[in-house]
Amino acid sequence: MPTEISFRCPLPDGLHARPASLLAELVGQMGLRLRLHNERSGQSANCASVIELVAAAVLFDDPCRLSAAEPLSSADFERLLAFIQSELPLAEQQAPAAPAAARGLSPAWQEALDALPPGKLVSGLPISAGLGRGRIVPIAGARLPLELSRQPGRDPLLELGQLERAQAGVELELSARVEASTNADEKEILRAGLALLRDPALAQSLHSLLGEGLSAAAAVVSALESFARQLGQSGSIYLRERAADLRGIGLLLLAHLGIHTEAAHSPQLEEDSIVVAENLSPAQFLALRSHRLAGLVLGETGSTSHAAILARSFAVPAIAAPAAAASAAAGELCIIDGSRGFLLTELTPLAERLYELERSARMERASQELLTASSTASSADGVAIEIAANIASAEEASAALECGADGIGLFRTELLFYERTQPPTEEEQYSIYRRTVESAGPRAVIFRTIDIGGDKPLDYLQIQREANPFLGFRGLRIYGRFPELIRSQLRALLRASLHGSLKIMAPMVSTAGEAADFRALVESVRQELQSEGLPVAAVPVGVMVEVPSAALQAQEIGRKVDFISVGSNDLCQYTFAADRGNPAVAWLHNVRHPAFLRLLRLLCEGSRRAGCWTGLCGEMAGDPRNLPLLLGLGFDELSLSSPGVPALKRRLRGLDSTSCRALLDAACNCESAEEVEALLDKVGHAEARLPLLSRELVCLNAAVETKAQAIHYLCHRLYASGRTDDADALEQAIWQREATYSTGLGHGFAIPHCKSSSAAHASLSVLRPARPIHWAALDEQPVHTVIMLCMPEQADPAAADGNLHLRVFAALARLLMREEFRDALSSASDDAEVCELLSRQLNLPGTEVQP
Amino acid sequence: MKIVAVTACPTGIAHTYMAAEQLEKTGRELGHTIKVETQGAMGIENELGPGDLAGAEVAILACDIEIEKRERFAGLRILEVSVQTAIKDPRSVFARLDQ
Repeated sequence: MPTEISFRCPLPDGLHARPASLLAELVGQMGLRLRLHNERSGQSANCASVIELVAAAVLFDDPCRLSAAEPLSSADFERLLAFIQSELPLAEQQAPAAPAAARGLSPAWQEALDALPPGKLVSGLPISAGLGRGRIVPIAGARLPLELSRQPGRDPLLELGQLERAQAGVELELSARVEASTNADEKEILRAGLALLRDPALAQSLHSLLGEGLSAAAAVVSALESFARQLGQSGSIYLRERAADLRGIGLLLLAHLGIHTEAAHSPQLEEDSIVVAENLSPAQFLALRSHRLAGLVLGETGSTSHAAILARSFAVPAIAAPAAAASAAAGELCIIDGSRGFLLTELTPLAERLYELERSARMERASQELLTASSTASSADGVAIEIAANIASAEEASAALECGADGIGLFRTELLFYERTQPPTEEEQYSIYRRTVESAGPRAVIFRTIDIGGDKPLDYLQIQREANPFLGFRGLRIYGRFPELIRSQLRALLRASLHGSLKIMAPMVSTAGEAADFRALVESVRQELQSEGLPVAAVPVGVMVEVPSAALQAQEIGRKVDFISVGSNDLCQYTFAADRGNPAVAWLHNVRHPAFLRLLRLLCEGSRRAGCWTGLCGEMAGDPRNLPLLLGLGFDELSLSSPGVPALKRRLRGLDSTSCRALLDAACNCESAEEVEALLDKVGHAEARLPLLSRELVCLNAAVETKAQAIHYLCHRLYASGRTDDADALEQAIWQREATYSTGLGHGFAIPHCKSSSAAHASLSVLRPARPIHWAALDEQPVHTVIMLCMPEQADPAAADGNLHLRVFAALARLLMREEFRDALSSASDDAEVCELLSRQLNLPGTEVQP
Repeated sequence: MKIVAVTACPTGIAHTYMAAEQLEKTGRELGHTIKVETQGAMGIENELGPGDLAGAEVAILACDIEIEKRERFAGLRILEVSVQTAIKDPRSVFARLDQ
């Protein structure tokens, strides 16, 4: 019987938090007492402790050894070996959204930086994109009060009691914040904090320090500081950055022990501020976050620190730069650029102007996008699909609607039942459901009744562990055994129906019989409420289809209920019998595989025959690439996590339902997912076309003093009006053309132009600077009129159209050689006149110009 | 004089057509017969065919890039200028014909 397994670490970033927690979880499940030895460093760790595993600083290719306290059974040995050989190499941390690569500065910003007095520019690494302006506020970072580390305790039992209360308090605080959070990154990072708090190695270290006679506070400081230092010495940047997380947990514990250090108290930001700190724990970042947080300068951190991930997630501009340099400007009004990686500690009029131009372009663009996002979306040929959002708490509802969701397609109620000793009462649930429908206003909210089972057990339900929980006692299957649980939930939901538009949906239905039973159950609860004199509104009842048998019976199910919502994640897992969370088989799980598409087609045909409203909630809806297939399938609604709503609506508006139906049939006839991918590659990405010229693209009397500023100005106008998604890249393309030879063609006219993939629409824009500017023109005269032409790189799907734009540009180029035209353009007195003249002279079709 | 010309600039969006316009306009003003082919982003337009080339005395190539179908001008007097010159000072281009 073996007791040891040797291996080399296959992970490029080392054994960091995620793979370590997978190992700890596995070892816990198997009930083994196992240690990991790092033969390179000589460190060893208890495999049940994520902290110890991470602190063992196992780097790529380090020789390692697992040793068991007792001999391993051959089944356990095989399982561990399989984990090390096939699962561990795949447990790579999902790369956090890559930080904006440091772009070459645009010539306009270069002018602004060149004009700064010396010492007023702090350069850094870009870690979160965006531009901010505010006063510098230096704060103490994630630093523990080391002076407390030897503080003696009173009675050890008394100290232990205090410590346990503090731990429970932090646990409660973090859990509440996980639940309240509407941001996926925030939730995940707070959960990671909870895992650190519960770590056995931390508990053990705290207890032994108390045993040595230290106070609870001293134990917290010593234990977390020592773990943090171990990580700080790691060879991996990723591990070094986790030190701030540990110190952050320490600060939270201290706060719950009644010790208020400077670091534990984030200042209330009274005005727009750029916060400077050596490093920040997640909790510190979240405490600072407000509309006043205009930017962040972090010292030693890198782009994978949790503070950096949170900054990106909440769109707070951030750079990594020597904190001392930035702190020197405490109280100064500064501009931070998280995309280009600098902090200006003195503001010149030019820098202010560039900042203001970009800020207003961003705001204009955002309000325009919100407007389009919040109106309902139809395909180009008029087929409307409701685009709704998935949520798990009442607080998320209004945020989802702000993103433009047409409704809530899935409220997962089971999260209300987790991490408690007994289920929430009917009253508690009623108030949450009521709050949700009230904040959704007239828009419908689909509540999925409690969906739990052997894979996510609740202590108070005492469902036995099963060999195969995914094929076991879960979802609606448990309702018969726990009638009180489901009845109190249905009572709360039906009572809340008076306060808004609400639908009820059951999870994990396999047959039409189950659908009918669920409907009868809701009906009996309704009668019960009515017999008590409690009024109930009409509530549509539906089921979730996530089992292939239910998909095949969609027609029969559709006759029993008011609506169907497809749970694509589970339906796909059950179709391929592959767990998408298991790296060894996840590749089989593919919603674009023809087998799955055929099943969906059968499902949709069945529900359509029954005249049943059909939606889909699941990750398949969240990927815009799937939209042509989903439109072809004929869904009435798609529900996804709210940030994806605007992009999906945009994509829908450019698709044609007839060709999508043909595409779906072709995809169903494919043999492999690769063939389907090839079909999807050919789907035209026909964005709703914007006219070539419009009044907002005519900028007369513009406050620009140089060629660089003029180009910068026009590119940001194109961004503001939705004609490019990347003003910087467009600017670069224009300058690339300028490099061949000047576009100043004499007579005071210049025509910068480009053909670039960063131009989303063919655009003609006009700028007249307040005073003529130098352009290195052919005749060396200053330029008073700039006409910029931008063409998309991609050949237009409707080639005739693409040529039309080129033809217009060619005609304009010829016109500019004529004196009468130049004079007429120069003397046009306002933007409307410029538009009118150009559209008449260029013979633009009426639809192309909207003066 | 019967003249044929080709214009072509790097992007093919604007300067190609400005140069064509200048050569046509100036050529006519000077009393020449001139036809200008453009090789821009839309490909070859106003293409010079055998009929256009027959009897032509000179080909003006106002090009910053390699042009297509250059072999058509074999045997003809060729005058090469930059696109910029054609735009900025078209008269100087025609003046060189008399040299």
